[in-house]
Amino acid sequence: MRISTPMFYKLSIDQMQAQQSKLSHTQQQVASGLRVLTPTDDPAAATRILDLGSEIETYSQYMRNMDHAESRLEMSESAMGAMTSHLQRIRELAIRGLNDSLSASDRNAISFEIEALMNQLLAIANTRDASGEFIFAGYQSDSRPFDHDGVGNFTYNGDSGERELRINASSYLKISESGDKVFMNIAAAGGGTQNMFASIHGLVQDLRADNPNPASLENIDNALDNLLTLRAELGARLNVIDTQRSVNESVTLQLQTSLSSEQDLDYAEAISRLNQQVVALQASQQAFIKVQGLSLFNYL
Amino acid sequence: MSTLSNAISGLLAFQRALATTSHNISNVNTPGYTRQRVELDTGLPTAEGGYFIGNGVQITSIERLHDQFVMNEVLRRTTSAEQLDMFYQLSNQVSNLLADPNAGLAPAMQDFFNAMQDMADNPASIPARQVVLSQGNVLASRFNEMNDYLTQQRLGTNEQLQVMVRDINSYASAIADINGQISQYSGGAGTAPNDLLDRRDLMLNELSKLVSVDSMEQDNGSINVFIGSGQALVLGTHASQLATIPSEFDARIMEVAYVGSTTSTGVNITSFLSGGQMGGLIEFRDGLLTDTQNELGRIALGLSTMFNTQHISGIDLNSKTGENFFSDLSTTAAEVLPSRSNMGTAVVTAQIVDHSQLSNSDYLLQLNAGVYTLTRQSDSTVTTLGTFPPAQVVDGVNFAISSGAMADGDSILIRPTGVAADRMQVLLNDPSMIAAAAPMRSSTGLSNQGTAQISQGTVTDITNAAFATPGALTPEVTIRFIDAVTYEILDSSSMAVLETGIPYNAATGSDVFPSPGGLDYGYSLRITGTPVANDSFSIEYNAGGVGDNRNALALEDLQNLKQLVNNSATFMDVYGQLVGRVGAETREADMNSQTQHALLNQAIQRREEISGVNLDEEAANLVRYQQAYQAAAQVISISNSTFQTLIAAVGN
Repeated sequence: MRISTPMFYKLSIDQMQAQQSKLSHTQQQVASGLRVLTPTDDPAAATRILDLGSEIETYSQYMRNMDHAESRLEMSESAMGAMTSHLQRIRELAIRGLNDSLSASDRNAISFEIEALMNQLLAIANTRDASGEFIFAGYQSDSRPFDHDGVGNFTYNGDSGERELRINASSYLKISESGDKVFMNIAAAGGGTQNMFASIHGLVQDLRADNPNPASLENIDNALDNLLTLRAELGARLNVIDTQRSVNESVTLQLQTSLSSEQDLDYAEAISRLNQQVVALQASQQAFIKVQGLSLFNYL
Repeated sequence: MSTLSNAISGLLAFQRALATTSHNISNVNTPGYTRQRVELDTGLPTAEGGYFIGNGVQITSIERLHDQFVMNEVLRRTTSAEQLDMFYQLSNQVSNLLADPNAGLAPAMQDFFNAMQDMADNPASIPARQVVLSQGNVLASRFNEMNDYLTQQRLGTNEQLQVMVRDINSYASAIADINGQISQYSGGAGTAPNDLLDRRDLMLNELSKLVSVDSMEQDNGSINVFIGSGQALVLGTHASQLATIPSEFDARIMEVAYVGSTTSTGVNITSFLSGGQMGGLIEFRDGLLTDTQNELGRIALGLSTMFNTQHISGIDLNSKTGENFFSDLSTTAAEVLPSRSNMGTAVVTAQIVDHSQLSNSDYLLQLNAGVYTLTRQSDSTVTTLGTFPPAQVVDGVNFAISSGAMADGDSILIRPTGVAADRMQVLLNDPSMIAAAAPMRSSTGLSNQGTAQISQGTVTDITNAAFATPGALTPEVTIRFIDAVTYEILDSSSMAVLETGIPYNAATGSDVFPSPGGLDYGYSLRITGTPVANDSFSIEYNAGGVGDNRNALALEDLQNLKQLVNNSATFMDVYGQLVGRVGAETREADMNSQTQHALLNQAIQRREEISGVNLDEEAANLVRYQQAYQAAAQVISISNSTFQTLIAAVGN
């Protein structure tokens, strides 16, 4: 087969360029740590990488949601914890107040302590979170939920709304309790419903009138039970967050592993390939130098 | 004396041979050069008595070592390789843009929906809402920028086409010129000058890089060159011209026309052109580029329509019904491009009425012999329009003639999603106007003694008359239990009974609306648990419900709804498919280009094998002819000395 002189150069140069191009591609892979540099390298992988990246982002958003949910729930939890201890103190005082052996002035003294505790309960009912929202107001979180007119009439200005957040692809978690559920709609002694504050206020007035009503104790007990039930449910939700968090973490790990296997470079293979290609390029360059000097004209 | 004349014939012949060899050597690096070889033959012998005496050497021809078949192969491969290179180069840019982890669409969409979730965590927070608006603007800008880039690519092809057309015209003229010169010489001496032939082949090669051509050799040595579907670019010494003309439907896009000798504006032959850089360019522009732009438009349209529909179903921070978050693209997205040769006066509109049925194709509306047809450009499906005019819905688009009428033979190109990505825009700029809350809420009666609970509800139909009065629910209703298994629905303000005797089953709970008597106020709710007599629940307008995030949750859930492409894909799915499709086409072009280059190299190698100059060979020839020349010169010297001997012999 006859090789013309320009063809000889073209073949050599084409070869060297092809090797340089492969070498450059490998070098870029090693420098960036990515196997797939552009979608053209592997279009199917490029689509999967896009999908996986998006999934991972979504899961990290769920984690953010759960952090937010957790801080809200913990705030509700601590509020209800404080209320429970106040209510228990009120209960103790109520039992003492109901004791027949007490004098009117003793009862009067107790009433003041109970009244102070009631006001603290009212303050807790109107708790705001870090962004200034009232946590027991239902959906109307920028208006104060509980008002007292001073003479035993308590109004709830909020509603029954309870906020939810998304914690994974298919479920939401409730992160607030409406004020009516916590304070208002509680079973009353002898049937019907009562609200916590009115009952306690009633107890205070009765003690001052030296005529405490045993039904008050039952009302307080019912209020405590209500609170306990709600706290238990809240605790369960906090547990859900913990469980879901670890589920999300392991899913995220799986997704990242898949992403890595699609996208990341196998350094061992790439570096040995790089070395191979460097050697190949050097060899072709040296071969070229050796051969291109051969010409009959050198001997004429 | 025959010795002398033989020697002289040798000298002359070897001089020519040396000249030819030196010509080859000088042109070793000339592109397109075909090596030449002197063909020697003996002179006609002279009869002398009973024998023939030789008459030296003569040059019969200077042969051009050329194989037309191999040359044609080179031209063919060049055309294919250039076409694939051009297509790959252009589509690679688009592919990289689409998949870019920072500048692509995916990160912008993700950030927007994440911002929605952050707002759902904290619906009353102005900063969180502000982030949603900012991210919405980033997303809309991203659509705009990507569309802009694609439009720039499209307009850029105009300039490239003009340059190519100019080059084709100049090569055609050059070929015609050379044809003239060659036929002058060929008519006379028989063979054409080799260098002219080389030059013409070079022009043909350059031409083949630009577009696919066919060439045919004529008897007088000139070649005719044909382009497209048989239009003659070069006929003998006459070269026709190509020109760029505005396309039939869109004056901003250039196409290629063939200007024959008599027609002034030319015939559009763009659809017949293939191969070469021009073929690759046209294939890219009319195929992948249009497809990408339309697909982006479809995503923009789907996203903004779905988002708006959900947004107006909620109420904002001021308890007012949500307005459109994004600009409404259903009427502004479509581009309607009538043909420049239309005779009719029809003004056609295209309104998107169902984004789930939308395709990513352009449509051609035509009237022929009284029949209106709509051709989907992507797969050439033809739909005969029965109820048209005035209007018909095809593939989720309502095509209508709003005024005027089409004349027979008219055609109009309609691009339903072509510019949607350009027109995408966030309309809201007040963060308090983001509708994160739902318009209604339910309350549990404060004296309820049972354990029944009511859900807060979700909007099913914002156009229901109950929402018609802004800022109110008409009517606000109360649900009251007559006993544990029956309830009634009352108007909350008048306490008038709207419907009574509705059964309730504590084991299964109850979806209150639509009620058995047909009451439906555009929302659905559920009661569960065990009620007792006189328990009640009321549904009222969610005034002041700034902490309500139900609509925000619904908005952020849109990214999971498969409503596009006949309800089979989410926005991200469609985008992912686009990236995959473009990537695959680009990769295919890359692979094919490599194959074609390999074949081209093989063809070039074969050509070089026959026609290329090898310096070693020429060096050997130099030595050969030089020796022969020296020998012939020596013969002259000997002939001279024999003559001298003769003169000396007859002298005194």
